[in-house]
Amino acid sequence: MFKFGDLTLERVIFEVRFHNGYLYWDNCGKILRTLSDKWPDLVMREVSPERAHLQFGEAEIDMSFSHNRMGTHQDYPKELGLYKKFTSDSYQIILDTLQISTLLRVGNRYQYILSHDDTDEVIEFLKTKGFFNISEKIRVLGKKITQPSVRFVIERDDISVGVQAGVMNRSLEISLPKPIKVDMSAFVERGISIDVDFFSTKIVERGTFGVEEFITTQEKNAGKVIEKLFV
Amino acid sequence: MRSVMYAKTSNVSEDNIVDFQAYVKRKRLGGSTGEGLKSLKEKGEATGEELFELKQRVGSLESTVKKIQEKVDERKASPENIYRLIDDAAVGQQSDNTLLKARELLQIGLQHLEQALHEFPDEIEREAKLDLFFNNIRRLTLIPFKSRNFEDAITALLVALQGTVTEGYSREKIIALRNVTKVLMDNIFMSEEVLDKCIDKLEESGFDLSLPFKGIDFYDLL
Repeated sequence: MFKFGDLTLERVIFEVRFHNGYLYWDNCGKILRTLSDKWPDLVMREVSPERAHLQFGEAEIDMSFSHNRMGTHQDYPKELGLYKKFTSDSYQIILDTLQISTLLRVGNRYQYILSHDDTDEVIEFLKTKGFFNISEKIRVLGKKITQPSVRFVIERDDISVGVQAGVMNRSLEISLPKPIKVDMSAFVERGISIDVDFFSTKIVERGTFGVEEFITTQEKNAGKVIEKLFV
Repeated sequence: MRSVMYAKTSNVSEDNIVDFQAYVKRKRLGGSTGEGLKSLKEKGEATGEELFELKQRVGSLESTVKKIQEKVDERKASPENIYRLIDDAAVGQQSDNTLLKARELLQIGLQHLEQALHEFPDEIEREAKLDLFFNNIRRLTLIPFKSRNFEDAITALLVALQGTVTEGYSREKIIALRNVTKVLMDNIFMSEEVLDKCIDKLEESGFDLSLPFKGIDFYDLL
């Protein structure tokens, strides 16, 4: 029904979790200063004792960190080069300043969507992939399945994969005063959503963890997971 | 107070203690527990009974440390798994990930150093293994890294190796190379502190890292 290239990457997410990052409360300003020197287009959204939230440039890369985590995400990225570079630099500066040497969890998530207006066809497609073959059983309960979705985790050595897929049916309503108009052409209301989440199941030493290398690897793996399961 | 480690056996008086320094020195130079204790006995620094008890204690400590290390390692994710591609066709093939490539080269280098230590009395074999190690470190410079400190550590290794080409390696120098290589394997994204420790280890074992300031053409190293 579709090729991997037909999918749109709606959001990419990266997150690391750690403990003992209490220097957050002493060094938050230092981190913001160092980050701003390196990335002048960084805009401060909200900074509180709970967390610092920033946004970077036209690419609108969202970044937040606190005493126990740091993470970034970008919506509708055309390519991941800038995202990787910005995430890697932020990670380096934040974790160096907070003096973190061990990561409790690292994660990298890819949320894909594919536009398709006919929901029944989407359901039939998902059935052919073997995820929703329960039609016979539900006949006594009702007429048909309308909003199928599935979620499971594939356990692998040290890095597991969470997969979530299903029919997407959503709407967006915005009312703005004239003459402002919103271009909604890129917004997908109906179709398939596929979410692939790679996360570590063991602690990760910083000495062998490279953010750009990790995202590059998992980006390739996301494609392979989708191709094996859905294409 | 002397900065010497002592091992006191339970059935000897307070004054009758074993000088542990020779044992520790022997261990630092890469010998086995047995060799270290034998050296103490030969020098007449310990009786057979004391050595037996000491050997038992050291053996027990070594096994405890090994068990603790194994438990710590079990809880850590291996870099090979973190950067592994989901691809059946790629099983058994060499990875194109720069970090894993670097670790592979360092692992091979480490094996050369272990062999050099094992065959230390045979000068030709020893120096041949060191040449192979040198080659592997040179190959590391071809990998495009994004870690400045790691690149500096590799440069320090190259300078150390280049400066020893005409001298031959002492056991202490080979052990320093081995220890630094182990540190590099687990710290490809290394901090300034780890880099300083690597440089200190090399210098303490007698390597001259000031070669580039003594008229040696640095570009010959690459």
